[in-house]
Amino acid sequence: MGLSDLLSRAAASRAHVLVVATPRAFTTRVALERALLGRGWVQAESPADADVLAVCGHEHTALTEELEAVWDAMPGPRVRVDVADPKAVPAVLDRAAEQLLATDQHVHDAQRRGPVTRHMDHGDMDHGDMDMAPAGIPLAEGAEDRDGLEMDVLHLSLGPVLPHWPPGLVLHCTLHGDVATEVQVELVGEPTTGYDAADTRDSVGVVAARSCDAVVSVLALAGWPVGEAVARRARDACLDGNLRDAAQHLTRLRRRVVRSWLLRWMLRGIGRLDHAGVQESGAAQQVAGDVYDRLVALIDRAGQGLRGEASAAGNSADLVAALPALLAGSELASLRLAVASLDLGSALARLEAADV
Amino acid sequence: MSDLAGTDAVVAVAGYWAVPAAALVGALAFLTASLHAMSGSAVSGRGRLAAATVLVREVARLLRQRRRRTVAADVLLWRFATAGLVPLALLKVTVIPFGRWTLFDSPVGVVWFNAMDVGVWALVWLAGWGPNAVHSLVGGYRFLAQAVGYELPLMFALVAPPIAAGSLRVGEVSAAQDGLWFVVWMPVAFGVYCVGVVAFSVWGPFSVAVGSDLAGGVLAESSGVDRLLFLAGRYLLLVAGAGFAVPMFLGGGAGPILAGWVWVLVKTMLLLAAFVAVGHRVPSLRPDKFVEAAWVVLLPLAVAQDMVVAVVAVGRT
Amino acid sequence: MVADVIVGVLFWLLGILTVLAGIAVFVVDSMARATYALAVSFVAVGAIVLLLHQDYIGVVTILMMVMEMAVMAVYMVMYMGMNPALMPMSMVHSKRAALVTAVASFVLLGSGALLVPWPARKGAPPADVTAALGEALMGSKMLVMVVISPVMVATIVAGVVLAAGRGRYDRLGDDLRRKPADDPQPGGVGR
Repeated sequence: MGLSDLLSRAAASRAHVLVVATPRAFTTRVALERALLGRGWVQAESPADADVLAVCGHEHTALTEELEAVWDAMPGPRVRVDVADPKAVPAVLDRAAEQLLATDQHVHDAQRRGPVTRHMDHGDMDHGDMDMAPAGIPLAEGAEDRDGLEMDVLHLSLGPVLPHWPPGLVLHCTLHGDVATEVQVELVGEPTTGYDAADTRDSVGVVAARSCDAVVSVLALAGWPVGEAVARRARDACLDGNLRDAAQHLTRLRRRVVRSWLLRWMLRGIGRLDHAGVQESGAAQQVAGDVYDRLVALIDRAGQGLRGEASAAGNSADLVAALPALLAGSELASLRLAVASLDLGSALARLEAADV
Repeated sequence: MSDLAGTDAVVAVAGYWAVPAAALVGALAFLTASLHAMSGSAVSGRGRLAAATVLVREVARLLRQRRRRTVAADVLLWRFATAGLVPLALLKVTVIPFGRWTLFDSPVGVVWFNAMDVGVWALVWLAGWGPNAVHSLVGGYRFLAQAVGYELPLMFALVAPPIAAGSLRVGEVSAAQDGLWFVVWMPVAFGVYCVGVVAFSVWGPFSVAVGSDLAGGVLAESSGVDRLLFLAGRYLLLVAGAGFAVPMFLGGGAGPILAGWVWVLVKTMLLLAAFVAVGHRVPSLRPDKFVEAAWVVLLPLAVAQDMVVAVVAVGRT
Repeated sequence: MVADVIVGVLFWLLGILTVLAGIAVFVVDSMARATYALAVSFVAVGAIVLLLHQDYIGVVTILMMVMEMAVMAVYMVMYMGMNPALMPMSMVHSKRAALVTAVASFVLLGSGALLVPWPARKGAPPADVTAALGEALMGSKMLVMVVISPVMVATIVAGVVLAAGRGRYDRLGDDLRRKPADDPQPGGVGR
């Protein structure tokens, strides 16, 4: 069986990893991303794309259901690993690679699964509607969108397991077509047992790295590989503690972002969140401008963080509370960009630090 | 020595040459994908051997992965769409002359090429519709929005070389570039054509249909062989588009010393390298912004280019 | 000889495919499947035209029909508000009248095609069929065609403008001077 062995080894040497970011596990997640990219592995975009499910941080009983759903959604061969802290990353990835090679286990796993059936909750559904619910899912109702067209109403929950998404955030969106007309915020996934103390300490490097991480998210969602790569390098340099290198990378990143007229054109006017009603809330200052303005502000904030200057961070609780009003009416992709540009990861981290 | 400048017509070869032709196109697609993966992994600083074999390992991984079905998916349309890009791209390649030889010497080869790339509209939308999932559906619709933008400028750009050559037959367009390649005096048409090629290959700046802001878009629910076929189809379309630019704008097999088919390969590979560079360096073009720019800027430019070409063509006769 | 046989077989296969795909449009439950069954039917017709050596018409038929079906699928799903893509639902109305009319017109046209005494061909087809077709269709009326095309495009655009719910004054304000224009979904060029 030499050929299938060779195939397995080749396949396992390029695994796609779905990284589950959880609160208070920022340094772990970044270490995991660096390690897997260093091995030539790839970050998965969705469960269908993933071979390895890597959950960062300590025990998260609140996320069990979501993680089960994601685990079910992964096709075989699949491996699940937990990464408790940055030091454990290389060992965990080695173990994941070994487990990917255990073909017999995967075949057994596949046989055990069979076709996946959704749990159809017939209890609260009126049986008179049964003929209008193929596969047990009721048909979508219609409602008008901003142009006055009747679009189907869909309920979509974004997060908590989503690449380039703030950890612990779930947005329950009501979509009319692809426009989110109503957004409800839910914060999940607080760790039940200990967490990485390094994350709450939040040294100068970590704060700047969080801003850089937000820049990585925005540029990845904007589909700019070169920019994303430079931002990653800046983020990694910030975390390594090598502040001079980090500052250099940041200047380079800023120059690239400012010089790219295409990026500016694409991000202009997207995620402009200054509707009436937002002005009064405490979040107005943090959400000024569009995605491009906030992107440049993030880079500047990272630079300030490196130099030790305190930047006006704004009230995180206000920002989270204002999210539904801010994001209502955004199209799905714009919503992703807007959330990434708001750097909710830092805001949520500040909230957690305040709770501690 | 075979300098093809305006002398020999293109000869149609027997049907069984389709198999080696497909293999050649597949090899070019493989090389392009490797180049793309290598320049991406240049960031992480892996070894040279690892970088060179990255595509083999990715294909192995996809072959090993199981396929998926989602609840109430339209499986027939879904599988048809993900698998359909590959034959579509191969059909496009049949009209491209490889030096002196071509598989399908159609008198309307240019229109055939265009007809095949319109098939991508159908297939990408179906690939988004099939899985019955939000992200896929939105991805499919985004592709159609973008397609409405790029298709007309592409069609007008494709019209320019036949006007100058007086024929829709690809071999004759290639032969009419006697001494002066079309890219020199039709740069706008060439530019718009390249935009069209990158767009119908769902590549680089035009990959919003499979973008990360939609968790993979059309590919969000695809895995295993289906995913492999769709991704392979994208690269094959890119190769077909780059290959077609050679007889249309870059003089076909014309060039000193080397044989015609070698020049075709060289020119195609140069163009493919340019497309890979564009894929890395240019941010994704969102359809809502791109469509207006395509209709208001690209389309009038393409039409103006056609007018210039028509005036020159009439003046020459 | 062999080529003739192949062409003949292909013709019959494509013909049958066309009819079956046409029937499938009314039999399948899903809007998307109905649209693409129609697309298959049209593509088969385009292929038959290609077999008749009318290359340009055949390829353009395939091109136009695939593009139209792609756009039509969007509109079909948009206007059928009851998610017909997922519901087993009968999408035909006044079945009996439609069936009778369809069969009657098929019999009429079919018998016409079979029973009319077609003239024998005199001479050979011209070397460049597309050019000859162009000359025959347009010939001396090329100037008229060139003028009519922009008029048709202008008519389509005017129709859309008239039908649009928002006009210049809604976008640009009463003095037509508002910058940028007030659009719910702004385009990329900033008009």
